[in-house]
Amino acid sequence: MNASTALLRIIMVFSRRRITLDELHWHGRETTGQAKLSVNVTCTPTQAAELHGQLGRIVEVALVRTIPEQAEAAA
Amino acid sequence: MNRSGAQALMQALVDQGTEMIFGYPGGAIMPTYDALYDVREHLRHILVRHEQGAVHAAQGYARASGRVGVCLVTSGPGATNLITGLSDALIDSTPLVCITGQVRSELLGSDAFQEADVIALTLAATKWSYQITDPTEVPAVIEQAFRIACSGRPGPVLIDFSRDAQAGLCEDVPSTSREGIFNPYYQHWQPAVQRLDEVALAQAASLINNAQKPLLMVGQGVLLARAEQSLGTLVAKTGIPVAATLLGLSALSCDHPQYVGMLGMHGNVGPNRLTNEADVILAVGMRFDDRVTGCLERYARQAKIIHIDIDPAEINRHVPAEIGLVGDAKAVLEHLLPLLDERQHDTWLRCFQRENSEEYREVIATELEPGSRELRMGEVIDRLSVQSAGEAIVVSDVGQHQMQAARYYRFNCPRSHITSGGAGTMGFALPAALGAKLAMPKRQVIAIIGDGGFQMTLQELGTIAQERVPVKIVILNNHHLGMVRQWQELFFDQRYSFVHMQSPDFVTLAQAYGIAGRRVSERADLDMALTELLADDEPRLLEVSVAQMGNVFPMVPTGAAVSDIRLR
Repeated sequence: MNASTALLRIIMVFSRRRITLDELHWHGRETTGQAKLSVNVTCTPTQAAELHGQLGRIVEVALVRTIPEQAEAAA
Repeated sequence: MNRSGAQALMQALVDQGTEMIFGYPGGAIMPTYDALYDVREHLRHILVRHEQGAVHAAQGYARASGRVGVCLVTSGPGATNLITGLSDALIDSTPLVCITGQVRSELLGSDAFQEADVIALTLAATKWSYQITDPTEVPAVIEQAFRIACSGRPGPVLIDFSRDAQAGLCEDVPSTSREGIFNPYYQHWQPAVQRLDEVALAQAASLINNAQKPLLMVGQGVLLARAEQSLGTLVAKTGIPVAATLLGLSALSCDHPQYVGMLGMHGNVGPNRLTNEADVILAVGMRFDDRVTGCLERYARQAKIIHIDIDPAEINRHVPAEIGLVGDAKAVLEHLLPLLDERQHDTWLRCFQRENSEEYREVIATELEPGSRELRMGEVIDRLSVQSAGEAIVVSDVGQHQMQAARYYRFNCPRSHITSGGAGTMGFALPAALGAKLAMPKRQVIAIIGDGGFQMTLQELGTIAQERVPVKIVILNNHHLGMVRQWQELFFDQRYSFVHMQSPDFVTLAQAYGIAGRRVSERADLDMALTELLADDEPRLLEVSVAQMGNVFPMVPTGAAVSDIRLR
């Protein structure tokens, strides 16, 4: 349950910058009160750095991964 | 023993050290106002005239005191009237806790009377928000709200309080109870003092120690961290010239020999031009806002930038940093200081003095001693600065007068400049000055406002009068939306589209509210009028007629490099 508006705030980080989410996936909770979210977006490295910083204000960003084939397709 | 959620809220606010609330009652917050009635000796409530006044007053209170500003309003339009102020507080990093009433929880989503989805509406304007629908949540929520508001980079928090939770009963438990419901992810908001990167500190120190043309830029982060003394010690030790952003003004005295002026669009020539000649820039508690940088492609490309900020999202965001140091400004400066060498930069400092001398000849002299009969904003601010010895808290609104207040008031005390920076909210100053004066009753508080901005929140004259808050109000009346008019003159071929403003008689208006007022239009009367304004401990209004077509220079035009700052 997104009692503390975290999901909405995360979505807004992208929507405010007009970045479309390609995929959004909630993972099962391992710890009560915590959840894991994976987000796939197509963006430039500069945007990725900005998004990392902005998301870091809301949640702990565990991993940022570039998917090479998708990056090539985007380029 | 049982108590209501509203009573629990009062206790929680008192436990957090709240002494003052700015608010406006209404249906959905009535149980809370009823509980407030029982603690009114401990919690002073200031009844404003519009909820926007409440949030701006809470901002002024917070900015002047360093404490969390609190406001209390009802549901629906009462809550939505906070949005401008919340947005303003978010971008300017002001700690607020705003409590809004809400309809009964079983009515949520039913489009009930005065129901609004306040959480959704304010998501983009708050650091955090939460809706209380269970009275047992109150102590932990309020404790969390205050912690989030004032930890790390401060900001506004909104708590939406359903009517049934206000009236519902709960067990009387200590506010320090952490039981319940919070998601822990907010635990990782930066604490005030962090473990600093020792390697990065050493690298930063080395850069500074070997710099030939270093420049220190200070922003509001220095004031938020109460790092003025640490800054002063560092400045004296290193001999580095210091420039301030708009919100960093008063972090160092304007009369300090190493203070070289204000950065940004209407800042001083020296720091703007020489930003693009510095070899090392030490940026403390500032975020390289676009008003400061101008064209980013031509901003300090030659410099190695050491960026100190509590918000890691701001490091490398607009300007690449050679070294980023994330942490509280005071903590970082104190860790850096022992690593720095004692130095002088007299030759480099003289470069700033030369540039600023040119600015004095070309711009400032005319502003302070105009040949014309009309009063200029700069000369009014200058006289005000002299008469208040640079020790007042100056709360400015938005526009030409704001820039002139920043340029011509010689700040001598920290936390002396309060203005709406990032949002540029017109109407900010009058309620913010009210809040600032209530926070700091022993200091002179002067609101400097334009005729346009004054009319956006002038209803707070009623609050000032009712509470007898001795704010000194100076309206610089040029009968225009001056900054917009200036841009139309310079960039839109003098097509003055809807900027001339007819205003009421402000003096009579103030008198109708029971506030003494006076008007000045002649230079010969100015000093006496200012003396009268500042002499007593009563609210007073002084309207000063100034040149209608005056412009603010210097100026960095949009898209230009800071080093291309225009003198005329």
